[in-house]
Formats: sequence, C-alpha cells, structure tokens
Amino acid sequence: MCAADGPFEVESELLRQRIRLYLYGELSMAERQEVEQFRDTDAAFRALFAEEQRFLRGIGGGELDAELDDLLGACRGGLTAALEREGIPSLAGRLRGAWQRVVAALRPWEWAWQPALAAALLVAGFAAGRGWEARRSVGSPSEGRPVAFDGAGGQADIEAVRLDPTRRRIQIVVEERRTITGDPADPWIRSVLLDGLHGTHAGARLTSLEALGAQASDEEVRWTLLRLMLEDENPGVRLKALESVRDQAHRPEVRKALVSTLRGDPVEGMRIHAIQLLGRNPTRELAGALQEVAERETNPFVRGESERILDLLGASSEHF
Amino acid sequence: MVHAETQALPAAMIAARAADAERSLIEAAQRGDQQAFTKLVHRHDRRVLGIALRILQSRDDAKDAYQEAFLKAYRKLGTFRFQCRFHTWLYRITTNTCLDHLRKRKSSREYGVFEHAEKAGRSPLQLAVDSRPSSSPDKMLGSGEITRRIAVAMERLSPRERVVFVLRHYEGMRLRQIGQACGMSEDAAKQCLFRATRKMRKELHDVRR
Repeated sequence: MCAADGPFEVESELLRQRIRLYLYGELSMAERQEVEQFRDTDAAFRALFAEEQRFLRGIGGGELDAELDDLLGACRGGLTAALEREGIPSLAGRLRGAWQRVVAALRPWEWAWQPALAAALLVAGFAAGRGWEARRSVGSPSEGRPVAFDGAGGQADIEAVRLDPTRRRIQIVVEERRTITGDPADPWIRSVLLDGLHGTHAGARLTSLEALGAQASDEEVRWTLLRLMLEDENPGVRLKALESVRDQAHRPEVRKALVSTLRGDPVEGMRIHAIQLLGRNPTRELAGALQEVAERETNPFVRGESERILDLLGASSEHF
Repeated sequence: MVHAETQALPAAMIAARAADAERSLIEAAQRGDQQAFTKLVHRHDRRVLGIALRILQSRDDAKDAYQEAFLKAYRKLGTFRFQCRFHTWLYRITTNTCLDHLRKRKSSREYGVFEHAEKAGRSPLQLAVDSRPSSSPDKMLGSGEITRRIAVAMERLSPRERVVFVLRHYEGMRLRQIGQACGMSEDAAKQCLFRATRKMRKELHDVRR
C-alpha cells in the first residue's frame, strides 16, 4: 500500500481482493452468495466487479500453446539424453525397490513372521526407550556436543490414517513435535536453524537468523543470510539478515549483494544500511552502481552518500 | 469399446483408477524402471514446461528449468513417499528450480525484459510504460503489445510473487495447492497473490482488451 493511499483506496483494494477470491473460486458458498447479493444491489460494487473481471480476463493470455508444442519436443529430446547420461537411478530408489521386493517375497509367510517381528519390535522398543531415557539430556548427535530433546513424547498430530481391511492392518502417519535444545554452533542444530529460515513464519525466521547471525563467517550460513537479505518478503527479516553480514562486508559476494540491495530494495532503511556498509571500503567497481543510485535514488541521505563516495573515488556522479 | 466403458464409470472411479495407474508408474520408476519414469514425464511435462515458461519468460531458461526439474525428480524419486500428490511434489521441484533461475538472473538485471525486447526486435526502453496522452490503450489491441506489457509487468514482481501469480492465474491452481507447491501457508500464498495482482494492476492500468 503506498503512502498516498487514503481510506477509500484501502477499502477499494479490500473489495477487489474479495472479488478476486470470488472469481478464482476460493470462497465458500455463503461467502459467494454474500458477494453476489452485494453485486446485485450495489452499483459501485458492480462496476468494481466488472472492472476486476475485465482486468483478470485481460491478462489471461492463453497464447502459449503453439510455443509449448514447439518447445516440448526439444525439451523431451534433451531430457532423454540427460537421463541416459544419468544412468542408474538414485540409491534411495534402488534400496526402496529392493525393500519392496523383499516385502513382496515375505508376504505369503506373514502369518509366521509378523507375530515374531511384533514381539521383537516390542522388546527392542522397550530397551531403546530405557536407553533413551538415560541419555536424554546428554545425547550428542554431533561431535559430543550436548543436544537435548524434551521428554513430552505425547505431542503429536495425526496427518493420515490408512486402513487396509483385507489385511486388518492400519498405517498412521504422525507428525511429532519436539523441542531441541543445544549450542547454536552445533552443526546439527545449525542445519535445523537453516531449515527454519525457509519456513513460512516470519517470527521463526527472525529468531533463527538471530541465532545464526554470529556464524556469518561460515560460508553456508553467509550465503543463506544473503539470500534472505535479497529475497525475503518481510522487511524485518531482510534487515536482520543485512545486520548479520555487517562484519563480512569486505567479502566480494557480500558487497555484490549490498549493491543489489542498494539498487533495488524498496525499504529506505535497507538502502541506508547498504550504502553505509559499502562506504566503509569504497572501491572503483562501485562507481557504476553509485552513479546510477545518485541519479535515481529518492532518499536524500542515500543519494548524498553515493555522491560523497563517488567524490572519494574521483568519479563523476553523472551516469553516461 | 474402452471409451464406452470409461463413459459408464462414475467420475470418482475414473479418478481413482488414474491415481492407481500413476502410483504403479511411480513405484516402477522408484525400482529403477526408466520407461515408467518417461511415462510420468510425458503425463506432466507440458504443464511443467508451461509453468517454467510463464515464470521465467525465456525459452532457453524454461528449457533448462524443465530438464533440471525432471532430473532432480528422477534423482529424488526414491524419497517420494506418497504423502502428497505426485504433481504437487513435481510442481514444488519445478517452482524451486525456477526460483533458483530467477535468483541467478538477479545478478544480470532486467534480463527478461531485455530478452523480450530482443525477441520483439525493439529496445527495452520502447517496452517501458508509455504515459504520453497520445499513447492510446486502443492501439494495443491485437498488436501483441499486451503480451509484451504483461511480460514487462511480470518483471516487476518478486520471484515468489511471480511464481504464485503464475500458478494461480495461468495454471488455475487453488491457493492451498500453491501453498504446498511453494512451501508456504495458504494465507501467505493469498497475501502474496494479492500483492502480485496489485502490482500487475498498477503496471497495466492503461491496458484494456
């Protein structure tokens, strides 16, 4: 929403969003009826509805068919060759296939091995449970550093239940929640945190970033931080990521990412931070980007800093 | 004969049969049967290519993304556990591959616009929004101009917005499916779509069909 938008524009945008959901078939029956009723009784809404419908139809563009047909043959040819080069399928796939063959071979004898297997699993589970209890707070999945799980064990969501009545068996897919405690520098914890950065919850991404910030000297962490700095939808996350790579601003990949932020981030605060970090160590290769910024930038501080750095570099602030 | 039999079957049963057939193909491919994998490819590749072409707006990049996506699927097929639909899994790989391409492209800015300009035999500046009063929206009708304007407008979207917009608007996917394919919640997908549509509307405010 741009700053100039007044209450009318905000309301109009909300109505448009409702209309779009209606046109995309994403509303419930009751919600659809509500929209239809409003459309039938309110002329202004009807006009907005027609306009939105026209707009969505207008950008419909179904002209890909010919292009697709043309390209598909070439793509399939290329893929066939690539698959031939690839040769053997993945190990996981082959192992899975082998396992399925073993299961199929054992199936006629299941009356014999199933009770034995169930008993063995029960004993193994009991023994493992006792062992786990003893190790719970001192367990070390990676290099002896302490990593602990909570002992709740009962917090779980059932995702799916599949019943096979012919064989009187049931399969339950369970998603279990666990709390992991440990040193953020532990490689295993770090990999969990890196996964957390891809999550949908901005708050969790921020906290993961905070925990990883001190490890920006690590290449994998640094590249992940740069990706977030450039691409995360949430400005707070982008800013946090930028702050986390502050001490790495001498590295070429960080400088390139800072230039991208300076050129394209819509948030002024981000651009201000970027120019400040780049200004600490100005180099000639920045000149082109800074000339562009000096011409286009709307924020006076960023523009002024760009001109100052260009002065330091002995370059003109004009972009030819 | 087969046609008549198919017509007599209820839609749900036809869908169930198709799902069973697909499951058999996937399981065969997981056991290393390349022909089964090729059949799976042919079932889904038109849509995969369409998604890549819409998102990347470049034939070469779409071709690369197509190949990368299917090779990734081939390598990871053993880990597919039937916890979601196969095509959802495949589209997730495709959209991630396209996002990677868009990220790489960020370093060579405005690539898509330039490529479109090149294809159209015009300079990128000519593709920029023309706000002169003499520029009549009517002139755009039937000239292919709208397609090019849409391409330019899509360049203004963030990679994720572009993916969500393409999946919803051109592929007709539900927001829930888009969320699954992009690894985000349904609500996040909805907000992303709203942002994308708003930007598109702003860019194309003077275009009428």
